[in-house]
Amino acid sequence: MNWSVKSKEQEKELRNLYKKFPDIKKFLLSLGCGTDTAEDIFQEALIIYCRKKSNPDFHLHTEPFFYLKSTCKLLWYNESRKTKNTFELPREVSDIQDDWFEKELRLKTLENAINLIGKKCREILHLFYGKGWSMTDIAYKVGLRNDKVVKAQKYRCIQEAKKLVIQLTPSEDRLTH
Amino acid sequence: MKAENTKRIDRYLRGEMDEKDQLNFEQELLTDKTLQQEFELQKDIEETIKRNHLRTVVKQIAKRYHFNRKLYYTGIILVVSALLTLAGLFTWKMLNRTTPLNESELISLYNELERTPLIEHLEGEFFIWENTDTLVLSKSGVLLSMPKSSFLLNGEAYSGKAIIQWQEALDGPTMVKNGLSTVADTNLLETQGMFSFRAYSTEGELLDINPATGVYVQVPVEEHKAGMQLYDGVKNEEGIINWVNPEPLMKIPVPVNMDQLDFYPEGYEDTLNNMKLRKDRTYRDSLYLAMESGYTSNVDLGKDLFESKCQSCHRIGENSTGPDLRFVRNKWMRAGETKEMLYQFVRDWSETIDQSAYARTKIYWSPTAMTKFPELTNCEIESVLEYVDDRGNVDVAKEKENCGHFDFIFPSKVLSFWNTKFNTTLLATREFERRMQSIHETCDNRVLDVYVKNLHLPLTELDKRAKEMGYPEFAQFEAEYVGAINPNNPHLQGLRKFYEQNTNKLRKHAQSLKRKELERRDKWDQEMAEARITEKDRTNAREAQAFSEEYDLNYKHVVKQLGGGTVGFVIYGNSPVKNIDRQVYEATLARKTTTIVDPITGKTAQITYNGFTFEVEDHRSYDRLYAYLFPSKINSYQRITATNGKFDYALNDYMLYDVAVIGINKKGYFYYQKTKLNSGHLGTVLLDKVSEEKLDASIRQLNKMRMKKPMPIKDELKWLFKEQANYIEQEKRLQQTLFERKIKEILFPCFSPLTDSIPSAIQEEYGDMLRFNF
Repeated sequence: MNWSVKSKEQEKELRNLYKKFPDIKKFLLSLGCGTDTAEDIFQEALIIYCRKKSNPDFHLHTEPFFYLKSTCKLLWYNESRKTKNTFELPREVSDIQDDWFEKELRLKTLENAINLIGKKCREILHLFYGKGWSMTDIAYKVGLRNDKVVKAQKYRCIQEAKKLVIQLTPSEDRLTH
Repeated sequence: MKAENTKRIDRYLRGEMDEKDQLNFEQELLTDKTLQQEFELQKDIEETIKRNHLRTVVKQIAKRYHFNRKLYYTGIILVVSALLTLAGLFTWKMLNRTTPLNESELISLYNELERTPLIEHLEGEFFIWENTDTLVLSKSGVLLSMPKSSFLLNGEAYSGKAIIQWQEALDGPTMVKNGLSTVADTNLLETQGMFSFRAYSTEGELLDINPATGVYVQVPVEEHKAGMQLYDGVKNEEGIINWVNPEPLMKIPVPVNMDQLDFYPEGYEDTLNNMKLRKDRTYRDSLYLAMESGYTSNVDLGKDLFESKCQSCHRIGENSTGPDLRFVRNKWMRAGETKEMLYQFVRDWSETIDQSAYARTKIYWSPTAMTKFPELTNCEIESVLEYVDDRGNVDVAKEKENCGHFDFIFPSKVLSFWNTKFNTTLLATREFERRMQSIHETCDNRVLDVYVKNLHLPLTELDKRAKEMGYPEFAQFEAEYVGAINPNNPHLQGLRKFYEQNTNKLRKHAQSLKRKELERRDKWDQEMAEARITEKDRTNAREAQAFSEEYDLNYKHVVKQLGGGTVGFVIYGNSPVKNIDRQVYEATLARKTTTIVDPITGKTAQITYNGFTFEVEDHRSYDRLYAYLFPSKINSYQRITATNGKFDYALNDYMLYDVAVIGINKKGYFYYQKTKLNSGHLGTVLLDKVSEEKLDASIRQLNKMRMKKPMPIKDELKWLFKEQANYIEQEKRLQQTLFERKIKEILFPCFSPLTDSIPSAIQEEYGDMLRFNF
């Protein structure tokens, strides 16, 4: 399946899932979550769902809506644990928590660093890794002379990202397992 | 952390290394802990980037989701306002909400477009266009009108669905927040807003705007500053927009209800207000329309000239003092003369005698020489002859050159479009109201037609046409650069037809009123002329009768004094022969006291005339002053007139007279009477106002009482009353003419009393009437 078809399908699904947002929001608000945070959490859950779905090992056993709902719940407890130290995790939630979820949370903190790199860099990296564009297309899009220049630019951007991650993230968070 | 490592790791992850390098790298990875860490980190970063990208996708979907929800609410609000104002907005609502589009297909396109806006980071809006006339309103209130076939795909008309990407930054904060530049090359611009407009097909291809149709964008601004212009934005290498190719902006005129506009020539309303005339539109409109009486064609001009200059001596179709004027051109042509010669003959016949044999035959047509008209132009003479040849067939709709006489914007034309039917067109605007003042000043109906007949064009274009017709003052209007209103209004064609038909209708109406009035006047004048002719005949007869009666009376009286019987006569030597009857005749004629001696008997007889004078107080206040003398011994009566208010007459001593004095002015009749007089000086007498009935009764009474069978006075009184009525009529006509002249001077800037021959004609007539005295 090529990139564009895949991303179109993904977007279509995301769009339908987003329509469920009012329900999820109601649910999250009932747990004591704020309106703004609710949307952030919902978006995070959507990201996690999409990533999980693109993993060939992943098999969804429930309706996407329920998957989203429980992910949101998990994220919200995770969030409130950070802010309120005395919070005790309910049993069933900690059960779902696995390595994979931990990794997602870790990657989320790394995203902060990605958000700080240059606009042009981020665009190139997004186009390359996110959309899977060819170097030639990217060169045309961002207005660089040719694919070689883009490639060199990409290396520099990764280098910059790495530096930022090391600067911003404590080593224990950064490390894998 | 080496840049080289980053590159190697990436190449390894991408599988770009050859086998040897790959093995080396894997070996190194096992041993080098730092490289290992760096490798893991880089893998994480790659994944993080993917995750981050996914986040932007989700965020965009969130935005789209919220946008649609907002759209839904604004849709509802707009439906409410659509009921009040623009039906077009409803279409938009339909397109966006109720028409189920396969939006899912379009989502990715929306996202794609949203990621690549013309103005980066500026939140945009999307509209859908389905190859129908579409009207949408952006968040900031910009109105976009995209008619059918607005777009081209690769130069061909595009007929599918289009997605309109719209971005706008109309206020300072938005521009600053998004780092939008307002630079034109090196100059800073003052801006009232910027927008980007792009249309895409559902396949994501960029569409071009069809230059034949165009897309209409109406941007609300706080203030329309003079010199505002529309610039094209061009991005430079750093992504900064440079604004180039300025084009003047069209200002959109604001429609006003026709009722609130004033298209009368300047000063008309003020003048009428000063004259304390009625204020309602109906009256003022009909007065305005009534002024359309001047020369709306050459034939009209010819008619006026004929009536003012020729009619006194020439008739149409018959000879009178001068020869028949009908077909006079053909007669001259047949005689081998030129038109020039004919024109010259009219201007000054004496100059043609030497040159034209035919002219010589005409000079001695009548003992009265023809009046010279050196002021007439060829065109004017031609128009008279045209009228004369074509009488009864006056085509008022003909709009010819008018021989350079004053032209004016026809009131019928103005009143035709000054109608609520023309609401929401260019004409129902303050902008056109101002132009109308200048149009009046051109006195050129073609200029008005340019405006009224091209309602689909921008006003500035019409200003340009007016300017090119030779009226440079319209350049200032053109520079205002005012645009069109509702250029796609389907009724415009109908309005144009309405304008033409209504103009003709109004003009015919005005003409028929005018004609009716003229016919009434003609009839009146004819009756008056007839009344005067009969009066003259009657007066002559009466005076003849009065004389013969008085002569008879005197003769009998003389004969009685001389002793009756036969009265002889004698011839003395060289003296003239004088009969007694002859002497009586002369004495009666001269109204002089005379002593007659009978040559045979030597007896004398006396005819005595006594002086009788009186003066009327304030005689100047009367336009007519008559005294009637009713003698006791003869049937007929005398009518005498005053000189400077003084009456002087000789009364026959042999009878008694009743005297009645009548003064007439526009207020009515004034009367004084005294009976049984045969001499005396009454001094100054004062007339009292009486009604027509009272006057009638008093005179009849005097006449009746003096003798058994007096001469009837009924016809005399009838004539007197007719004269009074005529005086009022002529006074009314004069006032009307002066009033018309005054109003015309205001209404028609090209009108000049000097070139207007009608009032002078009437004044002559009126003057005649003033001099008309007995």
